[in-house]
Amino acid sequence: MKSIRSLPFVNLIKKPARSVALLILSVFLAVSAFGGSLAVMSLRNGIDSLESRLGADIIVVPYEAATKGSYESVILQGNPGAFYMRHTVLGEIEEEIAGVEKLSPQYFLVSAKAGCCSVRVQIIGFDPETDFSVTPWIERSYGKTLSDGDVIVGSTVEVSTGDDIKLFDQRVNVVGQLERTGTELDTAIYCNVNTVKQLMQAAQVKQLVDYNGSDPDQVISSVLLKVRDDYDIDDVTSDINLHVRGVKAIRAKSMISSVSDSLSGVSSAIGVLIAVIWLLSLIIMAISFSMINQERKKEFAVLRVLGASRRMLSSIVFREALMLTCAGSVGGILLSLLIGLLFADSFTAAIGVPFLLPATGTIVAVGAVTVAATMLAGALTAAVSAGKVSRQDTGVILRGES
Amino acid sequence: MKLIATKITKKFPRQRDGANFFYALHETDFALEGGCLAVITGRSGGGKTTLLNLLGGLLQPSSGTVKADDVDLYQMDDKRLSAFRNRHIAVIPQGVSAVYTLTVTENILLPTMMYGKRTAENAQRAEELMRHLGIADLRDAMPSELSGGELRRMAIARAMMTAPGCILADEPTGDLDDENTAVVLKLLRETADAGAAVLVISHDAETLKYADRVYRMDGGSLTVHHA
Repeated sequence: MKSIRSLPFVNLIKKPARSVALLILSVFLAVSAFGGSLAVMSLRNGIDSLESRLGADIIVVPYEAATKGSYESVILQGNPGAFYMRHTVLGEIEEEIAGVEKLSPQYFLVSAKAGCCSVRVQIIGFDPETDFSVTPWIERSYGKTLSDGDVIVGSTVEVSTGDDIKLFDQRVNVVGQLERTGTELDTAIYCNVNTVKQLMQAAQVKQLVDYNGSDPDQVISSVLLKVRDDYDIDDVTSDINLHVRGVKAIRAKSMISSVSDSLSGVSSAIGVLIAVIWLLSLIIMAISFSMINQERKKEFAVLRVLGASRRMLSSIVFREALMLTCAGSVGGILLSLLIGLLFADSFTAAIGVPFLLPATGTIVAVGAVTVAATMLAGALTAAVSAGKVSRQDTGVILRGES
Repeated sequence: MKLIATKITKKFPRQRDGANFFYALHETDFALEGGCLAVITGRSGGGKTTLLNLLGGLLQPSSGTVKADDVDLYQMDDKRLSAFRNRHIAVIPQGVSAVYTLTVTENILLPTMMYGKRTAENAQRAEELMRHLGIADLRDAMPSELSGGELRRMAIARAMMTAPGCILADEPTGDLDDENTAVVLKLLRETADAGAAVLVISHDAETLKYADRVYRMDGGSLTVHHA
């Protein structure tokens, strides 16, 4: 040891059991604060991603798909699946329903086993002329419009841009990969209406898909609608359900809301959990510091005898606490990140809500706040017991201990 | 250095004989000048350690003053008093007084590192003191590896480190054998002869042989036993 300034560090190193116990408490504080905040933010990101991905006010699907609930599985979770209805639904809505600003069809197809993929892959076709849902998302990643025979793939599809893949024996060209959504949509393949029609034809030829007895050119899977600002979305939804036969119009927000509700429940639960863990950890930390400092009373008295001021003594206790909580909080943050990265997918699968980690800058900011909060908590709890110890008369301690 | 206590008392809260407090030290005048080795004897609980702590600036007196070369110890704020104690008054507390996370050498050097850094000169002085007190082989040992006697000698070496003007030693030979008792007392005597004011609290009759003055303390009252 070179000077008294090194004493806090030496104390921590030479009393490993004591240090590790307090370090674990700091890790708990950091994991609950950082991990909890990150979980809530990731869930919120997932929902935002879903909402922007959907981009529609109303979704119209075949009536059977609505009653079976399969539309939610395909549209929101992106699970492989398909359903079809007559393509004239588009015209019927345009003619009979007032208040529609935009509408665009989508086509779903499930590959048996793509050349690229070891699992069934969802193929989603859209009309670039009218689409307002997939195109903005694709433009962010690809920057251009998809040509015939081109596909763009979800973030987890294991192919590279420029690869040719075979779907129903049709060769298509992969021109790009989309940003992650945290849902099964990341495993889907997207193409324009001409390409999907070609694939649907090929699937029919191979007798892999039945379009309710219709020609592939005569069917669509869903219609996405944007409602004019001066119209009520609920009214337009009801109008479609009343006037268009064999379909079910669903307000998009209501689809998201069930997911949002579960998110809000999870967020509240995480919030309560963080508060409880912090409260308990702070109490345990305060008691630990108090007990440790009581046990070290004689040591502090010796330092006082040798000329340490009360301030110097408090500074030693304070710096020990800061070093421990700093190390503990950094450890807790790394642990949270590791858990987040390893178990994000399992988490998504377990709660049915997409889990998207925030941007690096946000993670760093949350990490910095966590380190500061944990160090502050440690410093405050240590300060209380340090103040108590340093206020005691050295003579009284020596008298009591000797 | 001259240490002068004037009309000092110390009372502690405790229920006794219908009162809420008791006097550990009744009104006392005491003076200790440089070059003098004074010894206080007396029964346990008589107030000897209380007087030593009051003289060392470690225990606020209930009344009276303690001056070191005209500096009133208890008129200083804690920061100044602590720094003053570090430079001028060495207290050897009763019992074990080691910092258990530091080696023997680091413990001995601790007073010099409070307001400065470890220097080669200080390290050399620590080495000399350890050799003199027979603990040089233990320089890198931890206090937990030392016997009671070795810990006492370490505390004495530490007190000598800053060559203070005043040494207040509470039972410095408590755990020592005859040989080491003689070494420690001789060292304290030499320190007094070199100009320091030395106060020793002891039950050990051997100590009296080295004393210039002997006091007795019982029931919180100090009397001159032998001058």
